[in-house]
Amino acid sequence: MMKKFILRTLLFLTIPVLYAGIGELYLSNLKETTSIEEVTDIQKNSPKELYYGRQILGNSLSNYKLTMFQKKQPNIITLGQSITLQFRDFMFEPYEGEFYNTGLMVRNIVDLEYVVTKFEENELRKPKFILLGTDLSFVLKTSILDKQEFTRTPPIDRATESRSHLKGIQNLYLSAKLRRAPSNDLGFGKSGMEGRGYRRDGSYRHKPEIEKYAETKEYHDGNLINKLHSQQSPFLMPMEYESAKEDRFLLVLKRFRALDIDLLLYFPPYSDEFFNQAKQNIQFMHFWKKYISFQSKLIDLDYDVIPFTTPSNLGLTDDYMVDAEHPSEVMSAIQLYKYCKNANPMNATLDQLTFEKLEMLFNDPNTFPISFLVDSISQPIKNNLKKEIWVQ
Amino acid sequence: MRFNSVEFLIFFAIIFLMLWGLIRHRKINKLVLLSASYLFYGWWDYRFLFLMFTSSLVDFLVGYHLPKSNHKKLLIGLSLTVNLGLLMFFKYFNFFIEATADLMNLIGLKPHYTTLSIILPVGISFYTFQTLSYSLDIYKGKIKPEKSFINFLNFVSFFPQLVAGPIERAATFLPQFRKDRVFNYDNAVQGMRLLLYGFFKKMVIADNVSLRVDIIFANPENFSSLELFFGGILFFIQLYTDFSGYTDIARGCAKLLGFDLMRNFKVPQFSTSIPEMWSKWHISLTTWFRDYFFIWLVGLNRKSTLWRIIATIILFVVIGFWHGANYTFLIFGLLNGIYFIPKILSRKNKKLRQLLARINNHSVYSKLAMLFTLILSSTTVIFFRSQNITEAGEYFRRMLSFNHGLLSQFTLEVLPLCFGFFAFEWFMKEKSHPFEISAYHPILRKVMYVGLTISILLFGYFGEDPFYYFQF
Repeated sequence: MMKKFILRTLLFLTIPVLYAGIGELYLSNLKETTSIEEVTDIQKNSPKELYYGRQILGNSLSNYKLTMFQKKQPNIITLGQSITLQFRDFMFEPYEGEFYNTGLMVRNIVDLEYVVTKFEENELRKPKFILLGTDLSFVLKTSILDKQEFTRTPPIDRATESRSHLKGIQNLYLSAKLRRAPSNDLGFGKSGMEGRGYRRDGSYRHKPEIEKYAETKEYHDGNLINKLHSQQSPFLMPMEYESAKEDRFLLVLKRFRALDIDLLLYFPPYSDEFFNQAKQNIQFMHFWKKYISFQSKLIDLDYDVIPFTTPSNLGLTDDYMVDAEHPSEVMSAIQLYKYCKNANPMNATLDQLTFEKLEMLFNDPNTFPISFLVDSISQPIKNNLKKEIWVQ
Repeated sequence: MRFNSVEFLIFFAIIFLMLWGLIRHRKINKLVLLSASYLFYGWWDYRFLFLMFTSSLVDFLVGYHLPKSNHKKLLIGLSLTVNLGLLMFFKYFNFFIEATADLMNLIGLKPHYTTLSIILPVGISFYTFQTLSYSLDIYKGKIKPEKSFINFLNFVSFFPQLVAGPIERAATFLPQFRKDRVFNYDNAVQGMRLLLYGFFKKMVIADNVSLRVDIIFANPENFSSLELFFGGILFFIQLYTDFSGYTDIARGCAKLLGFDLMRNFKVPQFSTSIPEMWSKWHISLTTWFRDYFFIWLVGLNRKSTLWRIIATIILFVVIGFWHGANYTFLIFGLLNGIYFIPKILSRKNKKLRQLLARINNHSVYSKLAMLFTLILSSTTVIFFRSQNITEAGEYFRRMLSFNHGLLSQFTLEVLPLCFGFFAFEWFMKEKSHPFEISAYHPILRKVMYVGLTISILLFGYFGEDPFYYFQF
């Protein structure tokens, strides 16, 4: 009887086993199942560029960035949200080998406090220089990003979690994504294999946006205006400025200074199209005035600050934005370059940047507003581009 | 370790094979089962194993000495103090501190107080009641003490029903650990059916419905009155499918290991009155309170109808409070107690009794009564779901403001699923279990097994979502 029961149960179990087996095979072919530990090991030691971008299992980003940060022990880093993700190693010549973009590892004031504490306690190796993305979420009273401690308790690596696999397989079947792996093999995860994701230096390659721009030469706002109008995050109403958060932020800056870390605070730009519309919103502007006062306060306190701007203030167009809130790598580079050349920065690291490669790229006919196209995968786009110099 | 996890399925498969493989070695078998139960519980937090062991040890010793003791009241008092003391400390300590502070504030005093950061041990409300019932039954002379400590530890910690019941009684459950178990094919198949149906209810219905319910209850101001009304109904469905799904899985696991657990739900959604609903909902808890609390309480003045009403209200306030240390649960219990008044009055009022009987027996009125009961329960559980009284009040205020608006797409999509599920349970309501399909044609049975399995795999929720009753 027992034997009969076990045999019948095993027969019945062939359905879920087959279901999961096929799904796992596809996930594995798409390199979605490579663990963060393995990805970071390979990325760190790889001589060629490899992208990390899971599309089905989820990227567990803070975990990925923290793991890579610990393995690389960089001296020059960017900290902050996605707005810092376009700063790349070659922009920090001659320190490009010591650079890592930790963008999205730290997403709120609690994360920031946690990181500085770990530097103080020598549990994380402190860098020499930090470019800190000071976006509005650090001083907004209501930010959904405050609900999680991204660095203290980073998300579990989805590749090592059975539930995520089942969820991923479900997603594969339901969205009929059971298809062959991309012909490119440029990294880990479906996106990574296609060349969309996080590079070895931590910066992010916006493959579809770059390709779309190359094709249409049109700027896309990425739905931010709609978010403002429909009061979605980060524009949850009432949009209130929180002075207590400002105080905590200032305290963190003091602690960075006490650790002899050079700081460059980066107030991210908005596209002109978005900002012109946002200026019509009373609640946004009420918040914005305080936010800009905070920027002035930081300048008065002798911090190096790349101030808020829009492309037109730099003589550029919205084409230099990936979307309304994310500057392109070219825009980011121009902002950094101009600040270092024109603003007489106070910290030593910025003084030592040579920008040789960047100057060359600014004048490269293949550079276009949204990308320098220096990734090896950019060759097909370059071939299709009409040769013209975009950056003056 | 959650039932709806791959870890549990692997764990259970190993335990199943070990227990039936070692069936001839009775002592080892019992020790393996005990180790499995302690491992299962320790997976959450191993520190609380000591708590469960202490509770078991106290009741085993109390039970052992009770029959011959001259200090029976002292011994039963010890059992009550330890078990209810643990429960009071871990579950209600902060509530009482805050309630006292609120009271002092009301009379103009400004108290300085601190609360403790206490973690609620999973399942404490269930296993303390189970061990307590053992001592109480011995005290009343209903059962004899268990001689084997291993058997008793297994009785308290039996992993399929450890964290959310059913709360078993020693008289029916303990003997199952004493006797030799023999593998029964039909029982095992029945167990598999219960498992399958339980997983379907939990992962496909309860978890998907909960995604919507969470959104509605988090921001009621964003929804129309109609959506809020259905929010209550959806939460009732979530609660029922979540908890009864858990019970089915527990009963299924137990059957596969050769044990029988009591039925905890008997399609309560088709009750014609609230009293009938409570006789079909979380039966192991309501009968526990009836046997060990209500019978004593109502016996203080058996002839008085008023006292019976008061006792019933007290009973349901206590049941509400058992669910959690929050005023919302007290209100939930109070309302349910009040809903019993017509039935209590009908005991001595022939006309009312006849009226209630007519409604129950009439083909149309009884269906209307079912609908009314479902709506009443669904609106009452709004207190159960809300974080505090203010939140519940706001929900009701918005629901009753009759602001215009239709149902959202999600609610419209999920309602047919719930309706289909109710329809299935309606046709199965007379069976010993809603998924009792032994009499069906073998091919139809297999189609149903495959259908449910594929539904779970394709539409089941695989996020982080524990069973709702684990928090109690």
